[in-house]
Amino acid sequence: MNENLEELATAYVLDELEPSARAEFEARLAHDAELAALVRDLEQALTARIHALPPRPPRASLLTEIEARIQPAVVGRGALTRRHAFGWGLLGGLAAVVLIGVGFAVFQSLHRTSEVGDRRPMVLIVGLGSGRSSTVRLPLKTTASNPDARFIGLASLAEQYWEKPDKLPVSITPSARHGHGYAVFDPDTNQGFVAVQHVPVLRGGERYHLWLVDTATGSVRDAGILPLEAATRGIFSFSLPGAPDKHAAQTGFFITVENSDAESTVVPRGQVILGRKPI
Amino acid sequence: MAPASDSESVNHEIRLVVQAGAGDRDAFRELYGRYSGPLLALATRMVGDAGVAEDLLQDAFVKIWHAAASYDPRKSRPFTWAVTIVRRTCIDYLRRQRGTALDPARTLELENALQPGSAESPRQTTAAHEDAERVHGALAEMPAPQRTALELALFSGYTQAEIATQLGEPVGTVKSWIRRGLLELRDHLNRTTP
Repeated sequence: MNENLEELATAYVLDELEPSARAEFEARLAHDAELAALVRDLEQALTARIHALPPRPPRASLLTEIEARIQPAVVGRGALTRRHAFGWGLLGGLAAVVLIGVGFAVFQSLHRTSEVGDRRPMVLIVGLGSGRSSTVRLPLKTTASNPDARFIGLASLAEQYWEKPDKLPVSITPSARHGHGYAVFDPDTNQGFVAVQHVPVLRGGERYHLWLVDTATGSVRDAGILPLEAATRGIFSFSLPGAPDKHAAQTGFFITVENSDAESTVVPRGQVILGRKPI
Repeated sequence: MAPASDSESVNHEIRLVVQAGAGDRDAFRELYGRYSGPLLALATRMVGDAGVAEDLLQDAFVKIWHAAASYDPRKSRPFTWAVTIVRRTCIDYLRRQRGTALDPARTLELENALQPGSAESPRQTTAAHEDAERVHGALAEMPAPQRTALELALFSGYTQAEIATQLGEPVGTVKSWIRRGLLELRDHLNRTTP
């Protein structure tokens, strides 16, 4: 690699590039595997140098002080929107996560298959329309068993479909009244992402709730609350507690509007906005 | 339990940043647990005062929380991204302290602190100690001006141009020293990492 590029890469890693030069370099980085490998190596050298400094544990109260600054302590029933270990949140800035140089391309391509007995790990893509849903099961073309890599791959897939809806392998008929959405779900890890568009703005005292349904048995599981509030669109991650149900014959999702004043919501009682609730 | 591979560790940290960006406090806490020690070491080396360094680290982690939603793993690894935030925070502090004048006394202090092999700490794990030894071995092999330029680039808060002024060398020479220094550190680690 020429010295000029090496110098740019060094300046990039040391955060010395002007914004325009930085943007130009990052644009090149996205398409130049050799340059990306060089940046990775320089980052590793920088990381090693920092880790070789005398270790200094911070004072015990520092984390508490940081958390107090990022958000005041929330108390009171109904104030939390997090229902599970990994919680909900709006994905941002995670376009097309391709782990260049790390060696994982978890979802390089997905192929439809109707082969009986296909034992590759599967991801479910569920289209959510008004009162209806459609599901496609696609095999993973990966050997990655690492949950983190699979999570990142799911995130990448969810964002890909958000940015390019024509790539979504399920058909959705948008409803002018209720909007539309989709879910990307990994039944082996119980993790997934749900995306909604043009859903109605909630009235005070309401919240959107996501439910997972085993369409074979009709059993329903609470997948948590979408923190949409005044928004009408977004992508959200979710994780179901408990061990993955590897024997779920068919998994579907639906979204309801529930009363946020309820003590707890363990069964869907409200109006179904997207997807189909089992009878 | 076998240690996680580098790529597994990076993947996990990417996930933590993504989840923290999504408002996951547990992920943020785990990220803090992983990064706060080395990042505080970095801040302390840069500003020279442990108390100030902790305050700056607090500021940096607040920034990390707010910036996590826009983190792009294509651009840098999570730790490097966090290092950038810490370094910028420390550099802002140092520039406020310095005004516009370069501080020869601070440069001398930093140069004197560049003692290869002086980073031993009984609190380091054996693996961490060995890794530190490898780094200091690489630094010891470098010509002194190259080592000085590299360490100043990493920890002084000065730009490469300012370092050149401090050292009384052409900017091109200093940039070349810093570039070669980082690359040689990389090569040494690749040769000596088991």
